[in-house]
Amino acid sequence: MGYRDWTVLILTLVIVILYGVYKSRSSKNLDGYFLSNRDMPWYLVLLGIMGTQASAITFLSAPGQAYTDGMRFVQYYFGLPLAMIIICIVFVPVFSRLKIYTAYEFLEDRFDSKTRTYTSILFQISRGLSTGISIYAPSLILSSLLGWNIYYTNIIMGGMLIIYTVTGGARAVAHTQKLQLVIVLAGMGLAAYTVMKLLPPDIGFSDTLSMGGKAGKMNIITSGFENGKFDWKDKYNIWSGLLGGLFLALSYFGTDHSQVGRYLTARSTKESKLGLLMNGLVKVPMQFSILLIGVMVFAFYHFHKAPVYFNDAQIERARVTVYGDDLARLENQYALLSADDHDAQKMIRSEFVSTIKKALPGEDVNDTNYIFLKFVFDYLPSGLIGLLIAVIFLAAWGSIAAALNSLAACSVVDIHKKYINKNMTDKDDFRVSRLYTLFWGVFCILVAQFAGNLGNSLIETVNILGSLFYGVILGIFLVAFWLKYIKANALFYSAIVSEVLIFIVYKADIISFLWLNILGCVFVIIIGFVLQRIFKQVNL
Amino acid sequence: MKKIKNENRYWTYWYLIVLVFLLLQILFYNYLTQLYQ
Repeated sequence: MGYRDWTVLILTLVIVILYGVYKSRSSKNLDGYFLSNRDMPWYLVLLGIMGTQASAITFLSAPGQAYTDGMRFVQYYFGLPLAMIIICIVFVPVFSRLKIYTAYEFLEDRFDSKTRTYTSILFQISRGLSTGISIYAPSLILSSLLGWNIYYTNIIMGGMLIIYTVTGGARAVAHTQKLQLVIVLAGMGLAAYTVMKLLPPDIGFSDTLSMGGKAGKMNIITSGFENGKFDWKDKYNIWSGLLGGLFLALSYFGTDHSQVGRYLTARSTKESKLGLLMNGLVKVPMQFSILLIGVMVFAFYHFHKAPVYFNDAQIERARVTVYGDDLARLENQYALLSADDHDAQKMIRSEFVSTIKKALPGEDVNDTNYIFLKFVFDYLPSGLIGLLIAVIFLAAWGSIAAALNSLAACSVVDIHKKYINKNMTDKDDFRVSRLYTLFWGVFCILVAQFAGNLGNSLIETVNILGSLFYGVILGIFLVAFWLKYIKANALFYSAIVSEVLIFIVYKADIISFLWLNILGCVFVIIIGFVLQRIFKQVNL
Repeated sequence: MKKIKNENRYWTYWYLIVLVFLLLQILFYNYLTQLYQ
């Protein structure tokens, strides 16, 4: 990284932090700190929703995912627009009418306080852990590619945003998300433009799609059926995307307070709904465009020889083992191949990967997450590299800041003010809220420091973690909205049993994680019905 | 009453726009999948 990159990177990050602090003025009470006095217009709600959902992992992993597995990952987002409509019809009017601070307050209104506390704690565990991974994932990639210390990178990735999140609460989070998203989208657009410019002059956009298509990367719509049988373990197809994606998006946007907290800041129900529906319109095309960058990078490597393996740090570690000579031999063989000898390249690459696997047992040897950034470092002009690293930081900050704000809101409103100190003044509320935001910031950085090896894809790890809890939480909310028959006690115990069952099903590895969202929800409803019948018979 | 009716109609149009746009996208992506096989 040259001085120009460092200047762009530092300048961008400092501007965002200063802007966040500048926008920190809000009333010193719960309404001001957690809900920005409920005065946000729809476009800030929209940018907040998008900035919260799109983490650094989204921008890092997605092009790599398209490069290796093709465009089919986009189907995962097909359920989102449907979820936006359901949330606008069912969730938003209730949340607005009750004037709640957290999504879980509604559950006390409908059931009882133990259900509210249990659901809020489930949210705080899952969101706290996944935010830690959201810090660790981009830090790991940056530290591997740039040789930075992972622990310091974690601290910068998760620590600097704490400045404006603690001082400014929801208002600072919303305004910085606006700026962050503009920079992130501009950076990705510039990267896409540069990839096209780097291709031979006679190669157009349509040619890149043809090249991608021939290699199976344009598998945008897949049915999930193989030999006439539906494959339940197939992760991304139109059915898992529409159904599993719908349930996941319903849980995420309807019951995860990091999202609910964004549209609760809207100045009216209309502004909340408009923000959500606009998200339903733009999310799929945005994700499609990011994935398309992966196909363009694939086409680029059709003319330039791709690295034998994209994770340099892992190669260096493997080189000092007994397999060092084997790796050197394979690298020499690879170097002799011409850029268009794709079959031979593929063979040596797969042998190289299996040698690394043998050299570093227990380590994840999937370099998907490194593909895009490695390309950026190797081929993009100076200045743009700095901007794209800033993009990673800013994308991470957008979602982490919203998560910290929502975690603090739940800790203060659902736990502290309910069980620890019921009689707090506005001043106390404000002080305690800031302390909890700081606490969650430190907690998430600690999770990042201990995250270690994360399995196949970082984006998937976060989604799996969400799927373990979301189905049950959604089940609780759906019962609350639609199934008046099931009362508080039956629901509470059914939610506990369902969570245990979901962990058992996940451990048994019989279905893909997206289906866990539906399963958790179905468990809560069915077990709730059965328990309610039993409780009714024994007059509980 | 009339205001509520108008508002309901306003949101119904919005929901239809989101649904139709999703459907058009799926059809377009399916077309691209077939085209670039």
